[in-house]
Amino acid sequence: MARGAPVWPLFVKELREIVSGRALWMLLLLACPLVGYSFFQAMSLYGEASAAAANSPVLASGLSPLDGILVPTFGSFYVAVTLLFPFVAIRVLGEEKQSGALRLLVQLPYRIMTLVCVKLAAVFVAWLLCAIPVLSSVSIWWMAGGHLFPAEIVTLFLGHLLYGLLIGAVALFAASITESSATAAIVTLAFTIGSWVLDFTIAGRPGWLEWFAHLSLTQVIRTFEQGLLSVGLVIGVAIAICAFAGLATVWLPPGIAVRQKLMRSAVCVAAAVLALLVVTQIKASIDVTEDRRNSFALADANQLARLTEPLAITVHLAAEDPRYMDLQRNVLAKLERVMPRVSIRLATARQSFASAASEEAYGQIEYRYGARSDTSPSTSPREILPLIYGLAGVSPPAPIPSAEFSGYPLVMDGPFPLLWFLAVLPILIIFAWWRSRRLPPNKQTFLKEVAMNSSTKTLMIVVVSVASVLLPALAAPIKVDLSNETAGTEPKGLVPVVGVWRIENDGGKKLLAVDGRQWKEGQSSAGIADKARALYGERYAEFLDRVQAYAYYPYVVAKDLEDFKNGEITVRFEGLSGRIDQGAGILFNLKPNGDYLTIRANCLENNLVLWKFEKGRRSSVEWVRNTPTASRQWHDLKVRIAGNKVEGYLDGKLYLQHTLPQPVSGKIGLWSKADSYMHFEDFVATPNE
Amino acid sequence: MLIILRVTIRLALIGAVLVASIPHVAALETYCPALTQVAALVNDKERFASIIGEPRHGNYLETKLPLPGWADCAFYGRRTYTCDSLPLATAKEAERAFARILDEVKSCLRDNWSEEPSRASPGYAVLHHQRPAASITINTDQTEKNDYVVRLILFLRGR
Repeated sequence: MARGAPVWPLFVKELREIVSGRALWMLLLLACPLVGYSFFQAMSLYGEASAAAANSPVLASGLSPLDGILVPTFGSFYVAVTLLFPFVAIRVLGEEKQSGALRLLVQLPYRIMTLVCVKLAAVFVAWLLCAIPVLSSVSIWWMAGGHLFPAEIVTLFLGHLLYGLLIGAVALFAASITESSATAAIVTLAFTIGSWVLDFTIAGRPGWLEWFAHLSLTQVIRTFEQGLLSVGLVIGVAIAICAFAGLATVWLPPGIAVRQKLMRSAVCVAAAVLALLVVTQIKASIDVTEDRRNSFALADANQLARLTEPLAITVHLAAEDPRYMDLQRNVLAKLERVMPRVSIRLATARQSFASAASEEAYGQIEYRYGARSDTSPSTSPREILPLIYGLAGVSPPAPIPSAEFSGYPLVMDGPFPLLWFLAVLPILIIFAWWRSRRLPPNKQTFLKEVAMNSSTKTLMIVVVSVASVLLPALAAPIKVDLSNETAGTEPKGLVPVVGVWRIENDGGKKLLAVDGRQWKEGQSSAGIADKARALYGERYAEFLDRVQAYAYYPYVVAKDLEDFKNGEITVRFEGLSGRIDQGAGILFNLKPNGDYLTIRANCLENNLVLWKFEKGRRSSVEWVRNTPTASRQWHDLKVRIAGNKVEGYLDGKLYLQHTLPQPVSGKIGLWSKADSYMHFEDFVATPNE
Repeated sequence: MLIILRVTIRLALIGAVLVASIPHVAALETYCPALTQVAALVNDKERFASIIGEPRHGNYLETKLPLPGWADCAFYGRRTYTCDSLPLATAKEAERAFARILDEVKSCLRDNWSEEPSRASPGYAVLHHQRPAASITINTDQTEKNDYVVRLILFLRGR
C-alpha cells in the first residue's frame, strides 16, 4: 500500500482525540489551583524578601525571579504533569487500542513510525495546552512589573517541555504494550512516581545509589532549573524520547509475534543505550542565568580555559556533607564547565558520613595539576582558584569590569492572581471544554483527505471502516455491498463464523445465502481460527471457545463495523426452506468473548424474538408472537438501538421493545438457525451519535 | 313420502360427517402410540438414542420409529425429532389440518404436556414438557414443490 497520505488530517484527528477526552480538561482545572497557589506563595515570599531588601543592595542582589518565582511555580506544574499528564497522553493511543480501531488505523497509508510521531506531536500540543496556567502566571508576573530574563525562562520552559514529552513518550509506550488505558496509566505512573521517589529517597547517597538516582526523570528538570542549558542533557532526553517512541512503534502494530517484538525492542534499547553512552561524553553547557551563577567571573573563566593540562581533584568529604555540596556548587561544577580536562574523585564515595569523618584526611581537598599538587579544606573559589593558578604557574587574572547583578526586588500584592487562578481561568477552561464538545466532527475531513490522496479501493474500504469505528457521530449508512462478490464463494465483506454462508446469484442479483441443509451441527465456518483472529486479534481464542458453544446457530459478522452502539441495522430476508427452522436475525452486541444478542424473525413460527447468548447458553429476552412472516416472501427486518434500548421491526412495523441492563456495544452481523436456508440482501447499518 | 325423504337426507348428512371423521380417528389411532413412545423417550436416560438410525444428509439422521400416517420422519441432530404430514394442496387445507393435528396431539399426550398459548402464533403452536425440558411445535409450511405440510417437531430444550 502507498505510504504517502497527508499527515495533517491525522494530526488533527489526534488532537481531537485529546481534546474530546476529559483528562486534558481535568488536568487544566486541577492545575489552576495548584499552579495558582504556588505562584501566590512564591510571590508572597518574594515580596517579603523584597521588602526586607529595600534598603540593602546585598540582600537585593540575591533576589532572582528565576529562583523566587519561576522555579517554584513551574515546580507545581511539574507535579501536575507527573501525576496527570500520563492520562492525557495515553488517550491518543489507549482509546484506539481499547476500541479496536487501532487495527484499522494501522492499515491506513501511514508508516507506523509516522503514526507514533504524529501522536507524539499531538502530545506536545496537549502539553502546551496544559502549560496555560503556568504561562499565565509568568504573564501576570511580567504585567505586574516583574523582571524576566528571556534566556532563563526559555531554558526552564525547555526543560519542562522535554520532561513532558518524555512522560508522553513513556505513556505512548505503556499504551502500546497494554490492552487498556487504565493499565497503561498504572505503568506510566509507576514510571513517573517511581522515578520521583527514586529522586528524593536515594539522591545524595554515596556509591551506586547516587548513580542510580541520576536516572530519575526529575533530574532532567533540575539542571534547567539551575539555569544551565546542557547540550548533552538535551540530546540525552531527546534520545530517551525517541527510544520510547521507537518502542511504541515496535509494540503498536497488532499481529506481530511477541518474540519478534521483543527482539526489535532489544535492538531499540541497545541503540538508545549506546547513543546515551556517547552523549554522556558531551560536557558542553551554557550558563543562561543573568547572574552567571554557574560560572566563575569572566576573567577567571578565560584564564582557566587556557589551562590545558589535566586537573585531578580528590575530595575527602562525605557526599551528604554540606561542605561537599557547597564545593560542588561553587567550584567543582564550574570547573568542569570551564576547564577542558578535570577529573573529580570522591575519596569517601563508598563510606557513610560517620565512617568517612573519622579519617585523618577528612575535610581536605587535594588538587593535582600536572606534576604539582596542593591541599586545601576551603570550599570557596576565592581560595581555590589562586591555589590552582599557583599549581599551573600562572598569575591570577585582572578582573574584567562588568555590571554587577543587583537583583530584582518586587513587592506585589492584591487578590488578582488568586482570582485569576481560582475563578477566571477555571471558568475559561470550562467554557473551552464546553465549546470543544460542541465542535462538529471533522474526522470526515480527515478520512476524505486521506482517501483522496491514495485513491485506492482498499483504502476507501479502510476509510469507511475507520469512519465507522472512530466516528460514532458519522451517521452515514454502511451497506454491505454484494455486487462485487463472486457467486458460490463466501462473502468478503462479512466473516462467516458458524454455518455455510455464500453468495448466490438470483436472476443476476447477488444475494447472501445461509444454507443449513447440508450443514452439520457444531460445525464452525472454514478457517474459523484465522477469521476469529482477524475479528478480535489476540483475544480470538476466547471468542473461539464460545463459538463452539453456539455452533447450532449460523452467523456472519460485519467486518467494517468495530463497535455499534446506537443507530439502525436493517436487512431484507426471504425464507426458502428449513424443516426445523427458517430463522433470519440481526446479530448485535457481539463481544470478544463470543456473547451476543439477536433479534430474529421466523417463517415457520411467525414470531419475533430477542435472544440472548451468554456464557454458552441461549435464552429468550423478549418474545412477540403473531408477526406474520410467510416463507418464500421478502421481509424487512430492522433493529433500532439507542444505548440500552432495543426495538425490533418487521416489515416496517414495530413489534418489539426492550430495555437491556447494559448499553449495547459490539460488533454486528446476521444470524440464522439450524437447517434454515435463507436469502439476505440490503444489509445496512446506520450508526448514530 | 316427504318425511321419508327428510329422514334419508338427515341420515345421509350424519353418515357423511361420520365418514369424514373416520380418517381423523383412524389417523390418531394410528400414530398416537408411536408419538407417545417418542415423547416418553424425553424421560429416558439415553434420550432418543434407541430410535436414532443412520445418518442422512447434513445434520439429519434416520429414525427407527416413524409416526404412521406421517411422512419423512427424521432426527435433526440427536435432540430433535421431526415429521411432516402428507402433502396438502392449499394453505386453507393446511390450516385445517394444523388445527386438527394440534387437537390430536393434545389428546394423545395428555399427561405432562401442556399447550403454551403465550408462544403460539397463527399456524404455530407449542406444547411444553416441564421436566425434563422438552417442547413440541406444530406448524404449517410450504415446501419447495409448492404444496403445504403440517410439521411436528419434538425437541429437547436447554441447548
